[in-house]
Amino acid sequence: MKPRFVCLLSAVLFFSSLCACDDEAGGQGTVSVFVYGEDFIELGIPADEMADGWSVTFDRFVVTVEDVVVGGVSMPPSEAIDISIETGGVGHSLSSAVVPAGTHTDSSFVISSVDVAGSATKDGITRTFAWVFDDPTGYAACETTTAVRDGATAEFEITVHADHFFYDSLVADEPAVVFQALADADTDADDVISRAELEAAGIGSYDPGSAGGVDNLWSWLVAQSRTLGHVDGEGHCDSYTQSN
Amino acid sequence: MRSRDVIGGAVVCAVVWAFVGCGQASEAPRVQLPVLVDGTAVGAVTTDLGYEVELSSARVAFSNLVFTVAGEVHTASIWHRLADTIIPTAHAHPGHYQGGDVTGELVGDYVVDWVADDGRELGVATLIAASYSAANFTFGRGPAEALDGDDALIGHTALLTGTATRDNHLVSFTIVVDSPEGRVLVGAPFEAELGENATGALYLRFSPLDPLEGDTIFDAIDFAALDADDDGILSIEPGVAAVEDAYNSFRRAFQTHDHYSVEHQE
Repeated sequence: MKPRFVCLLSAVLFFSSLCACDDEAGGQGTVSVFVYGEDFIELGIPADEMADGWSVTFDRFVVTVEDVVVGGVSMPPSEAIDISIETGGVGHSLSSAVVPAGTHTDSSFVISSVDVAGSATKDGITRTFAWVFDDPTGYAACETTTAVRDGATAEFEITVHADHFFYDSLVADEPAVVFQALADADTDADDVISRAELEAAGIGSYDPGSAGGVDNLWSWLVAQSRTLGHVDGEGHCDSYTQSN
Repeated sequence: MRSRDVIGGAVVCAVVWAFVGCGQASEAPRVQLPVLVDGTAVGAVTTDLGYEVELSSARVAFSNLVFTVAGEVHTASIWHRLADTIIPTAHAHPGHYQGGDVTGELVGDYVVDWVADDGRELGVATLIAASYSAANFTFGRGPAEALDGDDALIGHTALLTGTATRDNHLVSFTIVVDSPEGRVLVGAPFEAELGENATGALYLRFSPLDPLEGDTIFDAIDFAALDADDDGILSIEPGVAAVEDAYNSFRRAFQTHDHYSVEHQE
Protein backbone atom coordinates (compact mmCIF):
# COMPACT_ATOMS: atom_id res chain seq x y z
CA MET A 1 0.00 0.00 0.00
CA LYS A 2 1.39 3.38 -0.94
CA PRO A 3 2.17 5.78 1.92
CA ARG A 4 0.66 8.55 -0.19
CA PHE A 5 -2.70 6.79 -0.08
CA VAL A 6 -2.50 6.39 3.68
CA CYS A 7 -1.84 10.08 4.16
CA LEU A 8 -4.65 10.97 1.76
CA LEU A 9 -7.01 8.82 3.80
CA SER A 10 -5.77 10.47 6.96
CA ALA A 11 -6.41 13.90 5.50
CA VAL A 12 -9.97 12.90 4.71
CA LEU A 13 -10.41 11.69 8.27
CA PHE A 14 -9.04 14.92 9.64
CA PHE A 15 -11.11 17.27 7.57
CA SER A 16 -14.20 15.14 8.16
CA SER A 17 -13.64 15.55 11.87
CA LEU A 18 -13.70 19.30 11.54
CA CYS A 19 -17.23 19.11 10.12
CA ALA A 20 -18.64 17.51 13.28
CA CYS A 21 -19.06 20.81 15.11
CA ASP A 22 -22.47 22.20 16.03
CA ASP A 23 -23.67 24.87 13.71
CA GLU A 24 -24.58 28.21 15.24
CA ALA A 25 -27.53 30.00 13.67
CA GLY A 26 -29.68 32.88 14.69
CA GLY A 27 -33.32 32.73 15.76
CA GLN A 28 -35.31 29.84 17.11
CA GLY A 29 -37.57 27.06 16.00
CA THR A 30 -39.69 24.27 17.41
CA VAL A 31 -38.69 20.69 18.11
CA SER A 32 -41.49 18.12 18.19
CA VAL A 33 -40.62 14.93 20.02
CA PHE A 34 -42.12 11.61 18.99
CA VAL A 35 -41.90 8.11 20.44
CA TYR A 36 -42.06 5.29 17.95
CA GLY A 37 -41.90 1.53 18.41
CA GLU A 38 -41.62 0.75 14.71
CA ASP A 39 -43.40 -2.20 13.14
CA PHE A 40 -41.97 -4.63 15.66
CA ILE A 41 -44.01 -3.05 18.45
CA GLU A 42 -47.02 -1.86 16.47
CA LEU A 43 -47.47 -4.99 14.33
CA GLY A 44 -45.33 -7.58 16.06
CA ILE A 45 -42.14 -9.46 15.34
CA PRO A 46 -42.77 -12.08 12.66
CA ALA A 47 -41.31 -15.56 12.84
CA ASP A 48 -38.95 -14.89 9.98
CA GLU A 49 -37.30 -12.18 12.04
CA MET A 50 -36.71 -14.62 14.90
CA ALA A 51 -33.98 -17.22 14.79
CA ASP A 52 -36.05 -19.96 16.40
CA GLY A 53 -39.40 -19.66 14.66
CA TRP A 54 -41.39 -17.94 17.39
CA SER A 55 -43.38 -14.82 16.58
CA VAL A 56 -44.24 -12.09 19.06
CA THR A 57 -47.05 -9.57 19.27
CA PHE A 58 -47.65 -6.88 21.86
CA ASP A 59 -51.00 -6.09 23.44
CA ARG A 60 -49.50 -3.09 25.14
CA PHE A 61 -46.11 -1.45 25.27
CA VAL A 62 -46.46 1.51 27.58
CA VAL A 63 -43.38 3.68 27.98
CA THR A 64 -42.88 6.60 30.30
CA VAL A 65 -40.39 9.06 28.86
CA GLU A 66 -39.01 11.89 30.95
CA ASP A 67 -36.34 14.57 30.94
CA VAL A 68 -36.12 14.95 27.19
CA VAL A 69 -33.53 17.58 26.30
CA VAL A 70 -32.90 18.77 22.75
CA GLY A 71 -30.73 21.74 21.92
CA GLY A 72 -30.22 22.42 25.60
CA VAL A 73 -33.95 22.88 26.17
CA SER A 74 -35.94 20.60 28.45
CA MET A 75 -39.19 19.41 26.94
CA PRO A 76 -42.38 19.69 28.99
CA PRO A 77 -43.38 16.57 30.95
CA SER A 78 -45.73 14.12 29.29
CA GLU A 79 -47.95 11.15 30.05
CA ALA A 80 -47.05 7.51 29.55
CA ILE A 81 -47.77 6.35 26.01
CA ASP A 82 -48.85 2.97 24.69
CA ILE A 83 -46.67 2.72 21.61
CA SER A 84 -48.22 -0.59 20.54
CA ILE A 85 -51.08 1.42 19.05
CA GLU A 86 -50.56 1.66 15.31
CA THR A 87 -49.52 5.01 13.89
CA GLY A 88 -48.71 4.05 10.32
CA GLY A 89 -45.09 4.92 10.75
CA VAL A 90 -45.62 8.32 12.29
CA GLY A 91 -45.01 7.54 15.95
CA HIS A 92 -46.69 9.08 18.98
CA SER A 93 -46.33 12.76 19.72
CA LEU A 94 -44.72 13.28 23.10
CA SER A 95 -44.04 16.98 23.51
CA SER A 96 -42.57 20.02 21.86
CA ALA A 97 -40.65 23.14 22.77
CA VAL A 98 -39.00 26.17 21.26
CA VAL A 99 -35.25 25.78 20.96
CA PRO A 100 -32.47 27.91 19.50
CA ALA A 101 -31.94 27.51 15.78
CA GLY A 102 -28.92 25.44 14.86
CA THR A 103 -27.81 21.84 14.56
CA HIS A 104 -28.06 20.12 17.90
CA THR A 105 -26.21 16.96 18.80
CA ASP A 106 -26.48 16.84 22.56
CA SER A 107 -29.91 15.27 22.98
CA SER A 108 -30.83 13.09 25.92
CA PHE A 109 -33.84 11.47 27.57
CA VAL A 110 -34.89 9.02 30.24
CA ILE A 111 -37.18 6.01 29.85
CA SER A 112 -38.40 5.63 33.40
CA SER A 113 -40.65 2.62 32.90
CA VAL A 114 -41.71 0.05 30.35
CA ASP A 115 -44.95 -1.88 30.85
CA VAL A 116 -45.17 -4.59 28.22
CA ALA A 117 -47.69 -7.36 27.63
CA GLY A 118 -48.11 -9.69 24.72
CA SER A 119 -47.78 -13.21 23.45
CA ALA A 120 -45.44 -15.41 21.50
CA THR A 121 -46.53 -18.25 19.22
CA LYS A 122 -44.86 -21.19 17.55
CA ASP A 123 -46.32 -24.40 16.15
CA GLY A 124 -49.71 -23.76 17.77
CA ILE A 125 -48.22 -23.09 21.17
CA THR A 126 -48.75 -19.67 22.71
CA ARG A 127 -47.09 -18.14 25.72
CA THR A 128 -48.23 -14.84 27.16
CA PHE A 129 -46.31 -12.36 29.24
CA ALA A 130 -46.90 -9.16 31.19
CA TRP A 131 -43.76 -7.55 32.55
CA VAL A 132 -42.97 -4.16 34.06
CA PHE A 133 -39.49 -2.65 34.08
CA ASP A 134 -39.48 0.41 36.30
CA ASP A 135 -35.78 1.03 36.73
CA PRO A 136 -35.20 4.35 34.91
CA THR A 137 -32.63 4.29 32.15
CA GLY A 138 -31.05 7.47 30.89
CA TYR A 139 -29.86 7.91 27.33
CA ALA A 140 -27.35 10.61 26.43
CA ALA A 141 -24.83 11.56 23.77
CA CYS A 142 -27.22 10.21 21.19
CA GLU A 143 -26.01 9.72 17.64
CA THR A 144 -28.22 12.13 15.82
CA THR A 145 -28.31 15.71 14.68
CA THR A 146 -31.46 17.77 15.04
CA ALA A 147 -31.38 20.66 12.62
CA VAL A 148 -33.60 23.52 13.70
CA ARG A 149 -34.17 26.43 11.35
CA ASP A 150 -35.46 29.81 12.44
CA GLY A 151 -39.25 29.74 12.51
CA ALA A 152 -39.50 26.09 11.42
CA THR A 153 -40.35 22.83 13.17
CA ALA A 154 -37.94 19.93 13.44
CA GLU A 155 -38.63 16.43 14.68
CA PHE A 156 -36.77 14.35 17.22
CA GLU A 157 -37.79 10.69 17.44
CA ILE A 158 -37.16 8.42 20.39
CA THR A 159 -37.20 4.99 18.81
CA VAL A 160 -37.87 1.94 20.97
CA HIS A 161 -36.39 -1.36 19.81
CA ALA A 162 -38.52 -4.17 21.24
CA ASP A 163 -36.51 -6.95 19.65
CA HIS A 164 -33.71 -6.27 22.12
CA PHE A 165 -35.79 -8.07 24.75
CA PHE A 166 -35.22 -11.24 22.76
CA TYR A 167 -31.54 -10.89 21.97
CA ASP A 168 -29.39 -13.84 23.01
CA SER A 169 -26.41 -11.64 23.80
CA LEU A 170 -25.69 -8.40 25.57
CA VAL A 171 -22.46 -7.91 23.68
CA ALA A 172 -22.48 -9.63 20.29
CA ASP A 173 -22.32 -7.61 17.10
CA GLU A 174 -25.23 -9.50 15.66
CA PRO A 175 -27.17 -11.23 18.42
CA ALA A 176 -29.83 -13.74 17.49
CA VAL A 177 -33.45 -12.83 18.20
CA VAL A 178 -34.95 -15.79 20.03
CA PHE A 179 -37.78 -16.69 22.37
CA GLN A 180 -37.34 -20.38 23.18
CA ALA A 181 -35.54 -19.89 26.48
CA LEU A 182 -38.27 -17.54 27.68
CA ALA A 183 -40.95 -19.99 26.59
CA ASP A 184 -39.19 -22.79 28.44
CA ALA A 185 -39.25 -20.73 31.61
CA ASP A 186 -42.99 -21.40 31.89
CA THR A 187 -42.37 -24.30 34.22
CA ASP A 188 -45.90 -24.50 35.60
CA ALA A 189 -47.19 -24.89 32.05
CA ASP A 190 -49.99 -22.36 32.43
CA ASP A 191 -48.78 -20.64 29.26
CA VAL A 192 -48.00 -17.49 31.20
CA ILE A 193 -44.35 -16.54 31.64
CA SER A 194 -44.22 -14.87 34.99
CA ARG A 195 -41.47 -12.83 36.56
CA ALA A 196 -41.08 -15.47 39.28
CA GLU A 197 -40.54 -18.16 36.67
CA LEU A 198 -37.98 -16.02 34.89
CA GLU A 199 -36.15 -15.35 38.13
CA ALA A 200 -35.92 -19.10 38.68
CA ALA A 201 -34.54 -19.81 35.22
CA GLY A 202 -30.84 -19.70 34.37
CA ILE A 203 -29.66 -17.82 31.31
CA GLY A 204 -28.38 -20.96 29.60
CA SER A 205 -26.44 -20.17 26.46
CA TYR A 206 -27.17 -16.45 26.57
CA ASP A 207 -24.04 -14.32 26.59
CA PRO A 208 -24.03 -11.53 29.19
CA GLY A 209 -20.46 -10.50 28.46
CA SER A 210 -18.78 -9.25 31.58
CA ALA A 211 -21.95 -7.83 33.08
CA GLY A 212 -22.25 -8.86 36.68
CA GLY A 213 -25.53 -9.87 38.29
CA VAL A 214 -27.14 -11.17 35.13
CA ASP A 215 -27.70 -14.73 36.23
CA ASN A 216 -31.38 -15.43 35.56
CA LEU A 217 -33.79 -14.63 32.78
CA TRP A 218 -35.51 -11.82 34.66
CA SER A 219 -32.23 -10.02 35.26
CA TRP A 220 -31.46 -10.72 31.61
CA LEU A 221 -34.63 -8.92 30.51
CA VAL A 222 -33.90 -6.06 32.87
CA ALA A 223 -30.43 -5.71 31.33
CA GLN A 224 -31.90 -5.78 27.82
CA SER A 225 -34.57 -3.25 28.81
CA ARG A 226 -31.74 -0.76 29.32
CA THR A 227 -30.84 -0.97 25.65
CA LEU A 228 -34.26 -0.25 24.14
CA GLY A 229 -33.83 3.48 23.63
CA HIS A 230 -32.54 4.86 20.33
CA VAL A 231 -33.01 8.05 18.36
CA ASP A 232 -34.28 8.69 14.88
CA GLY A 233 -34.38 5.02 14.03
CA GLU A 234 -31.01 3.43 14.50
CA GLY A 235 -29.14 6.20 16.30
CA HIS A 236 -27.47 4.91 19.44
CA CYS A 237 -26.98 6.61 22.77
CA ASP A 238 -24.85 6.09 25.81
CA SER A 239 -27.08 4.59 28.49
CA TYR A 240 -26.87 4.81 32.23
CA THR A 241 -28.92 3.86 35.24
CA GLN A 242 -29.09 5.34 38.70
CA SER A 243 -26.76 2.58 39.83
CA ASN A 244 -23.99 3.57 37.41
CA MET B 1 -0.46 -4.05 3.45
CA ARG B 2 -3.79 -5.30 4.73
CA SER B 3 -6.84 -3.06 5.03
CA ARG B 4 -6.64 -3.02 8.81
CA ASP B 5 -3.09 -1.76 8.58
CA VAL B 6 -4.25 0.97 6.25
CA ILE B 7 -6.90 2.11 8.70
CA GLY B 8 -4.49 1.96 11.60
CA GLY B 9 -1.89 3.89 9.68
CA ALA B 10 -4.44 6.43 8.62
CA VAL B 11 -5.58 7.00 12.20
CA VAL B 12 -2.07 7.59 13.41
CA CYS B 13 -1.35 9.85 10.45
CA ALA B 14 -4.60 11.71 11.05
CA VAL B 15 -3.48 12.51 14.56
CA VAL B 16 -0.44 14.12 13.00
CA TRP B 17 -2.69 16.12 10.69
CA ALA B 18 -4.79 17.17 13.65
CA PHE B 19 -1.81 18.56 15.45
CA VAL B 20 -0.46 20.34 12.45
CA GLY B 21 -3.90 21.80 11.79
CA CYS B 22 -4.22 23.06 15.34
CA GLY B 23 -0.81 24.64 15.39
CA GLN B 24 0.33 22.29 18.14
CA ALA B 25 3.84 21.02 18.68
CA SER B 26 4.01 18.13 16.18
CA GLU B 27 2.65 14.61 16.09
CA ALA B 28 1.05 12.91 19.05
CA PRO B 29 3.64 11.14 21.17
CA ARG B 30 3.62 7.44 20.55
CA VAL B 31 5.34 4.48 22.07
CA GLN B 32 6.00 1.02 20.73
CA LEU B 33 6.16 -1.89 23.13
CA PRO B 34 6.42 -5.64 22.58
CA VAL B 35 3.47 -7.75 23.70
CA LEU B 36 4.37 -11.02 25.40
CA VAL B 37 2.31 -14.00 26.53
CA ASP B 38 2.15 -14.17 30.31
CA GLY B 39 1.55 -17.71 31.50
CA THR B 40 2.41 -17.10 35.12
CA ALA B 41 -1.21 -17.15 36.29
CA VAL B 42 -2.36 -20.47 34.85
CA GLY B 43 -1.45 -22.47 37.91
CA ALA B 44 -3.73 -24.86 39.78
CA VAL B 45 -6.95 -23.46 41.21
CA THR B 46 -9.57 -24.80 43.59
CA THR B 47 -13.15 -24.43 42.42
CA ASP B 48 -16.28 -23.68 44.39
CA LEU B 49 -17.10 -27.41 44.27
CA GLY B 50 -13.76 -28.35 45.74
CA TYR B 51 -11.98 -29.56 42.62
CA GLU B 52 -8.31 -28.79 42.23
CA VAL B 53 -7.94 -28.02 38.55
CA GLU B 54 -4.63 -27.92 36.77
CA LEU B 55 -4.30 -26.99 33.11
CA SER B 56 -1.92 -28.76 30.77
CA SER B 57 -2.86 -26.53 27.85
CA ALA B 58 -4.95 -23.41 27.38
CA ARG B 59 -5.06 -22.58 23.70
CA VAL B 60 -7.10 -19.61 22.54
CA ALA B 61 -7.57 -18.07 19.09
CA PHE B 62 -8.03 -14.33 19.06
CA SER B 63 -7.20 -11.25 17.05
CA ASN B 64 -6.55 -7.54 17.28
CA LEU B 65 -5.55 -6.62 20.78
CA VAL B 66 -6.42 -2.98 21.38
CA PHE B 67 -5.78 -0.70 24.32
CA THR B 68 -8.16 1.90 25.70
CA VAL B 69 -8.04 4.96 27.87
CA ALA B 70 -10.77 5.74 30.37
CA GLY B 71 -11.01 9.43 29.59
CA GLU B 72 -9.72 11.60 26.85
CA VAL B 73 -6.10 11.35 25.89
CA HIS B 74 -3.73 14.25 25.97
CA THR B 75 -4.55 15.03 22.37
CA ALA B 76 -8.03 16.07 23.53
CA SER B 77 -11.11 16.63 21.45
CA ILE B 78 -9.83 16.36 17.92
CA TRP B 79 -8.31 12.97 18.64
CA HIS B 80 -11.53 11.99 20.35
CA ARG B 81 -13.46 12.80 17.21
CA LEU B 82 -11.00 10.98 15.01
CA ALA B 83 -11.07 7.92 17.22
CA ASP B 84 -14.86 7.97 17.13
CA THR B 85 -14.67 7.97 13.37
CA ILE B 86 -13.02 4.57 13.47
CA ILE B 87 -14.27 2.95 16.65
CA PRO B 88 -17.37 4.13 18.50
CA THR B 89 -17.29 4.49 22.25
CA ALA B 90 -19.86 3.19 24.70
CA HIS B 91 -23.36 2.90 23.40
CA ALA B 92 -26.59 1.38 24.56
CA HIS B 93 -26.58 -1.38 22.05
CA PRO B 94 -25.05 -4.82 21.91
CA GLY B 95 -21.91 -5.03 19.92
CA HIS B 96 -20.62 -1.62 20.72
CA TYR B 97 -17.50 -0.93 22.67
CA GLN B 98 -18.25 -0.32 26.30
CA GLY B 99 -14.86 1.00 27.31
CA GLY B 100 -12.97 4.14 26.55
CA ASP B 101 -11.35 5.28 23.35
CA VAL B 102 -8.99 2.95 21.58
CA THR B 103 -5.56 4.57 21.37
CA GLY B 104 -3.28 1.59 20.90
CA GLU B 105 -3.26 -1.67 19.02
CA LEU B 106 -1.54 -4.88 18.16
CA VAL B 107 -3.17 -5.99 14.94
CA GLY B 108 -3.10 -9.62 13.87
CA ASP B 109 -4.51 -13.11 14.33
CA TYR B 110 -3.07 -15.21 17.11
CA VAL B 111 -3.25 -18.67 18.62
CA VAL B 112 -1.79 -18.72 22.08
CA ASP B 113 -1.24 -21.53 24.56
CA TRP B 114 -0.96 -19.82 27.90
CA VAL B 115 0.73 -22.91 29.38
CA ALA B 116 3.35 -23.62 26.69
CA ASP B 117 3.87 -20.14 25.28
CA ASP B 118 4.85 -18.23 28.39
CA GLY B 119 7.17 -15.45 27.32
CA ARG B 120 6.41 -15.70 23.61
CA GLU B 121 6.39 -12.36 21.83
CA LEU B 122 3.25 -11.74 19.82
CA GLY B 123 4.44 -8.55 18.19
CA VAL B 124 5.04 -4.88 18.83
CA ALA B 125 2.09 -2.72 19.79
CA THR B 126 1.80 0.94 18.91
CA LEU B 127 0.17 3.17 21.51
CA ILE B 128 -0.43 6.87 21.96
CA ALA B 129 1.26 8.06 25.14
CA ALA B 130 -1.57 8.11 27.65
CA SER B 131 -3.02 6.71 30.83
CA TYR B 132 -4.48 3.31 29.99
CA SER B 133 -7.26 1.47 31.73
CA ALA B 134 -8.28 -1.55 29.69
CA ALA B 135 -7.62 -3.81 26.74
CA ASN B 136 -9.96 -5.53 24.30
CA PHE B 137 -9.55 -8.33 21.80
CA THR B 138 -11.74 -10.36 19.49
CA PHE B 139 -12.23 -14.07 19.99
CA GLY B 140 -11.47 -15.98 16.81
CA ARG B 141 -11.46 -19.52 15.52
CA GLY B 142 -8.46 -21.77 15.07
CA PRO B 143 -7.37 -21.17 11.46
CA ALA B 144 -6.96 -24.31 9.36
CA GLU B 145 -4.27 -22.67 7.25
CA ALA B 146 -2.06 -22.04 10.27
CA LEU B 147 -2.55 -25.26 12.24
CA ASP B 148 -1.83 -28.92 11.60
CA GLY B 149 -4.59 -30.68 9.75
CA ASP B 150 -5.62 -32.79 12.73
CA ASP B 151 -5.42 -29.98 15.26
CA ALA B 152 -8.58 -30.07 17.37
CA LEU B 153 -8.55 -26.28 17.68
CA ILE B 154 -9.36 -25.80 14.02
CA GLY B 155 -12.72 -24.10 13.77
CA HIS B 156 -12.97 -23.51 17.50
CA THR B 157 -12.15 -20.58 19.75
CA ALA B 158 -10.43 -22.37 22.59
CA LEU B 159 -9.22 -25.78 23.60
CA LEU B 160 -8.28 -26.39 27.20
CA THR B 161 -7.01 -29.64 28.67
CA GLY B 162 -6.12 -30.59 32.20
CA THR B 163 -7.11 -32.53 35.26
CA ALA B 164 -9.67 -31.99 38.00
CA THR B 165 -9.12 -33.80 41.26
CA ARG B 166 -11.36 -34.13 44.30
CA ASP B 167 -11.20 -36.71 47.05
CA ASN B 168 -8.41 -38.54 45.20
CA HIS B 169 -10.68 -38.97 42.18
CA LEU B 170 -9.06 -37.55 39.05
CA VAL B 171 -10.83 -36.60 35.86
CA SER B 172 -8.88 -35.68 32.74
CA PHE B 173 -10.87 -33.12 30.80
CA THR B 174 -10.98 -31.41 27.46
CA ILE B 175 -13.03 -28.25 27.04
CA VAL B 176 -13.82 -26.84 23.61
CA VAL B 177 -15.28 -23.35 23.31
CA ASP B 178 -16.94 -21.71 20.34
CA SER B 179 -17.43 -17.98 20.72
CA PRO B 180 -19.81 -16.17 18.39
CA GLU B 181 -18.17 -14.68 15.33
CA GLY B 182 -16.77 -11.28 16.10
CA ARG B 183 -17.30 -11.63 19.83
CA VAL B 184 -15.18 -8.97 21.46
CA LEU B 185 -13.84 -9.26 24.96
CA VAL B 186 -14.02 -5.77 26.39
CA GLY B 187 -12.38 -4.35 29.45
CA ALA B 188 -9.51 -6.60 30.44
CA PRO B 189 -7.69 -4.59 33.12
CA PHE B 190 -4.69 -2.66 31.84
CA GLU B 191 -3.66 0.05 34.28
CA ALA B 192 -0.61 1.81 32.95
CA GLU B 193 0.79 5.28 32.52
CA LEU B 194 2.68 5.16 29.25
CA GLY B 195 4.84 8.11 28.37
CA GLU B 196 6.56 8.48 25.04
CA ASN B 197 9.76 7.19 26.61
CA ALA B 198 8.21 4.09 28.13
CA THR B 199 10.25 0.93 27.84
CA GLY B 200 9.76 -2.70 28.79
CA ALA B 201 6.92 -4.84 27.52
CA LEU B 202 3.21 -5.51 27.81
CA TYR B 203 2.27 -8.91 29.25
CA LEU B 204 -1.03 -10.47 28.19
CA ARG B 205 -2.24 -12.72 30.96
CA PHE B 206 -4.91 -15.42 31.22
CA SER B 207 -5.86 -16.45 34.72
CA PRO B 208 -8.32 -19.24 35.62
CA LEU B 209 -8.68 -17.53 38.99
CA ASP B 210 -10.47 -14.20 39.05
CA PRO B 211 -7.98 -12.29 41.17
CA LEU B 212 -10.57 -9.76 42.30
CA GLU B 213 -13.56 -11.90 43.19
CA GLY B 214 -11.78 -15.15 43.98
CA ASP B 215 -13.96 -17.34 41.80
CA THR B 216 -12.55 -19.57 39.09
CA ILE B 217 -13.34 -20.16 35.46
CA PHE B 218 -14.26 -23.76 36.34
CA ASP B 219 -16.76 -22.96 39.07
CA ALA B 220 -20.06 -24.87 38.97
CA ILE B 221 -18.57 -27.70 36.91
CA ASP B 222 -18.98 -31.02 38.68
CA PHE B 223 -16.36 -32.95 36.76
CA ALA B 224 -16.95 -36.30 38.46
CA ALA B 225 -20.71 -36.15 38.04
CA LEU B 226 -20.39 -35.30 34.36
CA ASP B 227 -18.06 -38.24 33.80
CA ALA B 228 -21.06 -40.53 33.44
CA ASP B 229 -19.14 -43.66 32.46
CA ASP B 230 -16.63 -43.05 35.25
CA ASP B 231 -13.66 -43.66 32.99
CA GLY B 232 -11.87 -40.58 34.23
CA ILE B 233 -12.14 -38.82 30.89
CA LEU B 234 -14.52 -35.93 30.26
CA SER B 235 -15.15 -33.81 27.21
CA ILE B 236 -17.10 -30.59 27.50
CA GLU B 237 -17.97 -29.18 24.12
CA PRO B 238 -20.77 -27.34 22.36
CA GLY B 239 -23.82 -29.21 21.15
CA VAL B 240 -23.70 -32.07 23.64
CA ALA B 241 -26.83 -32.12 25.77
CA ALA B 242 -25.30 -34.04 28.66
CA VAL B 243 -22.75 -31.30 29.29
CA GLU B 244 -24.77 -28.33 28.06
CA ASP B 245 -25.06 -26.57 31.41
CA ALA B 246 -21.37 -27.04 32.14
CA TYR B 247 -20.45 -25.79 28.68
CA ASN B 248 -22.64 -22.71 28.98
CA SER B 249 -21.30 -21.94 32.42
CA PHE B 250 -17.70 -22.29 31.31
CA ARG B 251 -18.19 -20.28 28.14
CA ARG B 252 -19.77 -17.42 30.05
CA ALA B 253 -16.83 -17.27 32.45
CA PHE B 254 -14.31 -17.71 29.65
CA GLN B 255 -15.79 -14.74 27.78
CA THR B 256 -15.72 -12.30 30.70
CA HIS B 257 -12.90 -9.85 31.25
CA ASP B 258 -12.41 -11.26 34.74
CA HIS B 259 -9.83 -13.77 33.54
CA TYR B 260 -7.63 -11.63 31.33
CA SER B 261 -5.36 -8.69 31.96
CA VAL B 262 -2.46 -6.78 30.50
CA GLU B 263 0.42 -5.54 32.59
CA HIS B 264 3.21 -3.17 31.68
CA GLN B 265 6.56 -4.19 33.09
CA GLU B 266 9.77 -2.23 32.69
